[in-house]
Amino acid sequence: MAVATAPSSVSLVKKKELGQSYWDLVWYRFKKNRLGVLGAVLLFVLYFSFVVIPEFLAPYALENRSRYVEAPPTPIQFLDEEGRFQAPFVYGLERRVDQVKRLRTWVPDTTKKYPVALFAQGDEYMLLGLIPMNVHLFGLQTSDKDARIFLLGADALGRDYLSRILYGGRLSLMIGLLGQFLTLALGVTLGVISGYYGGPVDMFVQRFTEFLAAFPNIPLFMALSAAIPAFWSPITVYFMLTIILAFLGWGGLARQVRGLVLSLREREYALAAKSFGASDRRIMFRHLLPGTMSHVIVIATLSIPGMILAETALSWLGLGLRPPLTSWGTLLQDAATVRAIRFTPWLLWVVPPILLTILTYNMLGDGLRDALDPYSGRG
Amino acid sequence: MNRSKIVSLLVGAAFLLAACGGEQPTQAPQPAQPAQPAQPQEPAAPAVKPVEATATPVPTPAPEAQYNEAPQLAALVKEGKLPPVKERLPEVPVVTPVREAIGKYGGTIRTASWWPGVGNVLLYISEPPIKWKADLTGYEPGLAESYEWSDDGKTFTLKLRKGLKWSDGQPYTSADWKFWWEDMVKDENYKGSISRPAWLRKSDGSLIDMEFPDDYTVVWKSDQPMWVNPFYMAQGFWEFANPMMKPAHYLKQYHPKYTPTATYDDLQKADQWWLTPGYPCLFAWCLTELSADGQNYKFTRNPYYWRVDEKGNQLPYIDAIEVELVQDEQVRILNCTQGKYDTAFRICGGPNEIPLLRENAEKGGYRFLENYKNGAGAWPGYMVNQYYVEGGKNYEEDTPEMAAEIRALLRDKRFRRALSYGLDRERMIEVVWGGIGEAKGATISPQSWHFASPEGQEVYKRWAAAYAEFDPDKANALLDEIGMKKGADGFRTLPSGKPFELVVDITDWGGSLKAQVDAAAEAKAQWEANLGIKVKVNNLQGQPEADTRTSEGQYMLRGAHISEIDIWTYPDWIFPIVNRYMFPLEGRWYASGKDQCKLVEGQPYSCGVKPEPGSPAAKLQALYEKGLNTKTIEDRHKVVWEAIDVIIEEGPFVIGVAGDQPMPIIVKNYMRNILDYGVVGPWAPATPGNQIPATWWMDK
Repeated sequence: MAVATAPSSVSLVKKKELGQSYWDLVWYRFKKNRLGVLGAVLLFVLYFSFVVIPEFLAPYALENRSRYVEAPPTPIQFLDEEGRFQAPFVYGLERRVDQVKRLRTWVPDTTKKYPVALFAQGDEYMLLGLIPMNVHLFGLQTSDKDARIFLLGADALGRDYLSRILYGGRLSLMIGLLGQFLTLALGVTLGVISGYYGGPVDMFVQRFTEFLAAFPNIPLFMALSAAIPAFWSPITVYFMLTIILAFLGWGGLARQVRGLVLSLREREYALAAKSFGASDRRIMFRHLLPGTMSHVIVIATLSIPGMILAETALSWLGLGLRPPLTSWGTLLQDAATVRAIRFTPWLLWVVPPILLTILTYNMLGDGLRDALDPYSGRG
Repeated sequence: MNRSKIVSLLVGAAFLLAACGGEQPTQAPQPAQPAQPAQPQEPAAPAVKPVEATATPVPTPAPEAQYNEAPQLAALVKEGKLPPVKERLPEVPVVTPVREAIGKYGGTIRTASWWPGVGNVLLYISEPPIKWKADLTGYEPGLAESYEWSDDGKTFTLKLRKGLKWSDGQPYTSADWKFWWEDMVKDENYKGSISRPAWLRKSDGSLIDMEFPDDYTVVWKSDQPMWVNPFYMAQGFWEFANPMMKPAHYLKQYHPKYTPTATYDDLQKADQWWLTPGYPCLFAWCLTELSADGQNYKFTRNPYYWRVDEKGNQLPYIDAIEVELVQDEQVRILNCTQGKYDTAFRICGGPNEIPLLRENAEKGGYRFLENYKNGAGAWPGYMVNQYYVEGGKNYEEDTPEMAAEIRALLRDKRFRRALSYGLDRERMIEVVWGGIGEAKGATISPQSWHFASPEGQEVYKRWAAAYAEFDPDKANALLDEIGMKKGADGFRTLPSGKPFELVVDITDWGGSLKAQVDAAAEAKAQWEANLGIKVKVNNLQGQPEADTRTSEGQYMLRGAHISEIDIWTYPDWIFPIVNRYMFPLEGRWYASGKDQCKLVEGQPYSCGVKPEPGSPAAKLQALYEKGLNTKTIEDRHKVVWEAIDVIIEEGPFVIGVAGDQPMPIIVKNYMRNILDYGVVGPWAPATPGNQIPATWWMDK
């Protein structure tokens, strides 16, 4: 029979000395991890730019097609032909067709100059879906409707590629989040229950996770994407698929949480709570669950980028999002040809944001893992 | 017996064919043909005139002179392992003129395929009894010596070449045909690599009669004219080599009737010439090696091949063809740019790869065959379903009533014309084909022999120009006339006022998913902006329903690639007689025995839909039957023109954008005797099989 022990005087003293709660310690510890902080800041910037205000940052609307099909990037110029310094401008583009090579190219037309301005007026959009605006971070100040600035070139329909990367980010960054959230909620809840009760409950939950883990994802994905009504928008379809995958994918997390709970439930504080007559639910979710949080948060920060990559990979394979939707995966699809690498290499500009996002998530996750365990030896 | 015509392969076959212009078509419901090939094809370029045509074989009776053979074969003869060349050749070897020069023996062609089973190579090594001429102007005898019809067209006689042998030295005679017909086709137990197509059936659907009066004669008899039927064999690969080239002496050892221990499964397994090294074949090269993983094929020269050049050298010049299976198109393209392949037909991507391949030509040591075209009458083109029915879940309210409304719209020629006028084709070409190409309406291949005459050219031009100008005002006027008013969201509604969304299905049809995706995105933007019609692009690449939505009549528009050289053997793009393309249900009705079909419980469209009298489908089906009963080729061309008039009058049924793109067909600089003209889109002529690859050689 476990004996409830009184709070140890040592820990009381320590607490008084530091004057800090657990979360204070976590915050203190996290602040000291520069990479982690950098990751957090960058991640915030990324989400803010790609999810909240891409319409403002992008010089053009998503479907703004121009006649400049597959035009190369138009660099911002500061010097005119004679080398004099000027306010920033871009040159116009002139179409050339090489009938022998059968190649169309665009060359700068130095007779046309368009000044570049910050906060230029352009395509209309609704900021946050609410506020009608037409101001963009930058754009061309000209009455020539054909003029375009393509900092990262244009795609096969003459759309600005920078704008497409910005809009594509919204889908790529958001799409995995809900599915991931579901995975976490299910995994944690069932993991705690399974670990706490043990016995037949544990047995049942564990066998069930094994059953789910046996589903092969990609064939399932293919089958599901065929079984879904055509009037659903492609995005709804993909969204449903990620949710279904989340329902299939919580098993691994549940197992890890169960393992942690198996050890935590034998700790003194858990036994104490029990001897005070706390309900099972209270013990599980007030006492045991927080003990697993450091682990869960790390899993989450590491698996969200997994979802983003999965979107990219599945879309690239043609199973996830499909054109005409714009996501990083579908953009990558356009870049994945020998021809693109040779003639339209700017289509590879979608890669840096993907790398950056994954990197920042990992930096943040790493910082959190250290910080969430403030009593560990390091630092 | 009266024979109206004799096409003999002796001297003058060409003249006869040209002069009498006539063979004779027949009628036959369409056999199923292989589904759209996944991969081929290509882009747009200014129309180039086909240049050369090869003459048809001008066999001169074999000079008593000496025949030469490849050095390896000569060595085998010396060792006594092979009979002398004179004995291996048929009594009268087929003298085949070479294009540039008499070649040297030796060399191995390295090439690739994306197609498990390397069909794109089998396609051009197969040599059918009747083949397409190299210039695509008509047919000529190939493996067979001659062929002829009776006056009423109900009897067809095929004469085989005397002394022609299988690659293992056994004679090729009517006994092989008899075995194929009696013991395989007519043996209901056999389900292997044969077919019982509609063109081998009588009017009541039973198989025709086949007689074998002597070793070298095969006679087909039907109760209806067979003016067209034998020409199906000219697609040498899947119409002849796979289902009809059956070496009796070899297969009998696996046939239960001749070998009691064998089973039909054994036969089926053995009867795959394209997978079975050592299977006797009749072509210049036969399969001799196949790697265990199925990735590498080697075809080695057939010592009994029956063609010789003008100097009496036995063909082929090239020792062997090695094919590797490379399914990833980008990898093949890279290999092409590096000059890894000696010949590359249909494997180096489409028109948009031309710039890349051009810049690497010198480094890779290859040259372009400049006059190779795609032969596309429309690429892309949007088929419009002419009998739209419910079941495709295009709408939440997927009811027969809603389908009927949409059907009425899609069948309204004003609506289709509006879609056609509402497309800025120049801009489409800019987006899809790098700005190079000719804007046109949908047709079949411009190179089709139906258009070879001046009158035919007129017809072609009229067809290509029909409704192909960009005129949004006219288009909007037509839509207003139909009663499609603009709804609250600015998009046009159905005449009843219900919201309307036009669903465009796409796949990689034509061989390039990117071309179809870009084209559909552009067409969507244009139709929405120019016409106010809301469009949804439904990318079905790799999805099982891509084809069922078409065959069940559940699609509205579908992005396609259209190319056809001969509409009598591949009628689908003009005549709605099979369950496919623009008239899937009306075609199904025709193909499933018209009114005799029995409905499957719970599937109201399992017998298709009978075309209403006077409807385009009814008119075109009637013209098809008229064509099959028309004796001469010339007159059959006229029936095609009549059908095209119907299509212009009632159409368009396909909203065409551009066509006849040039294709990147490359060969190494040392390859000789390869014709610089061809059309790779249509499968019928099996390009470059129609130009006799046995005459190719390597100058190195």
